[in-house]
Amino acid sequence: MTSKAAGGKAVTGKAAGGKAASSRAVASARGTSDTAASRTVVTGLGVVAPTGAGVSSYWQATLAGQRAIDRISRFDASRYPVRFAGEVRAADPADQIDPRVLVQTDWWTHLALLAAKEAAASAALDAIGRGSFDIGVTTAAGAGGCAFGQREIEALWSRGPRHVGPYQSIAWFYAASTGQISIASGFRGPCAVLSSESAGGLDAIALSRRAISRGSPVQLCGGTEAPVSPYALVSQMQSGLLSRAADADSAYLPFSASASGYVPAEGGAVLVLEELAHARERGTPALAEITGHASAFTPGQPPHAEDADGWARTADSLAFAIGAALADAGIGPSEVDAVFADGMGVRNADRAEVAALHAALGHHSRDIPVTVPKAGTGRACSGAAALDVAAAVLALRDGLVPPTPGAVDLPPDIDLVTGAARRRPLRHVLCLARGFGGFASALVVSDVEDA
Amino acid sequence: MPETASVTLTEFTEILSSSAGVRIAPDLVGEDATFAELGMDSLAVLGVISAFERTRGIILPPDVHETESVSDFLSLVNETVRKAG
Repeated sequence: MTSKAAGGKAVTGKAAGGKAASSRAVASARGTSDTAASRTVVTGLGVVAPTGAGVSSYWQATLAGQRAIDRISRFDASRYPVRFAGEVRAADPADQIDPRVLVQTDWWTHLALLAAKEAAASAALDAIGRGSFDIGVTTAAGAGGCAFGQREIEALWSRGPRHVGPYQSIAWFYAASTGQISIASGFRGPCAVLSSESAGGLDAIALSRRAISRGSPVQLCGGTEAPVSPYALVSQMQSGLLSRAADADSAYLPFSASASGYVPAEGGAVLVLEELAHARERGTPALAEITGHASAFTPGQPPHAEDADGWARTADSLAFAIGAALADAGIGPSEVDAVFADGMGVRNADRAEVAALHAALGHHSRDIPVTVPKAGTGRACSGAAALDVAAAVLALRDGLVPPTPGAVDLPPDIDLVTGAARRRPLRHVLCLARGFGGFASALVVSDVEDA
Repeated sequence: MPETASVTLTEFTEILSSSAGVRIAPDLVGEDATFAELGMDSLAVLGVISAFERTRGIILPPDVHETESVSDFLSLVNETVRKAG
């Protein structure tokens, strides 16, 4: 026995050594092909937002600076300190989604399926066909299916275990939207789900870009959220960053001296990312290119809203992410034409974001238009950043930077776009997102040169 | 008190709709229909089983999970309903 065990160990040791050597080789080969060969473009968009369900109604509302922040209607929130949210009220999944899927999924996944359907249609993915291993799905999820889960847990405690339906096992789960999009459309390429709270919308897009650089030619990616239920709201309130404002108009004012926090929201976006050569070959127009991304993290206890020093310390990681994303895109600060900011609407957090922009972009940061379109929708966890990237793609297409709705008491040290959309030739747009807990991410979306 | 009347196809299709999202008219459920033909996977069948147990106040025997055809399922439900009454 002893000698057998020893022999087994020796063999294992050799195998492990061999594996390590070969994975290094693969890693270096991959590093070259990532940068040299693969370019990732956006060929489809799908949007579900409080300001509009569908890309065109969302974009029109966004350019007009419309706001859809309103009193919470999903439940009676009159006795909660947070009473406003952005709810997706115009979307009706009943006529677009299989009823068998509707009963087994949360509203969050309904929204993801709607956005995925629009995105897939706009990129003509039908032509590739069901069951394709060439199409993968990567979504971000921060809240999961809170409302579904709460309903089942209420049934458990008030009526007993026999009243809990079997779909509780899959509906609340973070991977539900990725899985249901994959199943509904028969997309069998690499799939993933990512949780980095509100930074997740950018990180999921970056993860899809990486999957493409590794040989998966098409990816649906992004994220939707629906954290407007009692359990979801109370979970978010613990951060102390949600607005307790008494009226909708002052509930979410990014970068304003009178900012009081942010409001939660439903919605998000799904993008179709595709390898440029693959898109060309099948004659699908590229709307924009994803050229750079980086994420960083601030360790330690997340600062509370009034902790100025704590927030100031988070500026480093965001500045690092911006710098590394620009380096990934191969551009300098002077080439950034617009910033879609995180814009948390928490004064100290907003100051930290401005500090990060100044640190990473130098004197250019004062001349670059900055906007926070989500001031019109609220912040839908990871869905918010996915929505920003969709808006950035449309901004590049139209040469228009949408305004920050309802902006008042503006900061002197950034050029916040307010009132009307600003016409400007755009080549590179920087999107920023921070997630509760210390996440900070930056993504560069560019117009498609030579495509 | 559990209801002792036999399960009708109407009651069956109502439960299919509410618990599994499967919408089918009672008269279109064929004599030899299977759950698989109705587009139902094992989780969907599980939901229908527990819905009958709740609404009828019964506990179905473990082999109900093995039934594949609608008629076998309904016989088992009706047998259990009769015994409970």
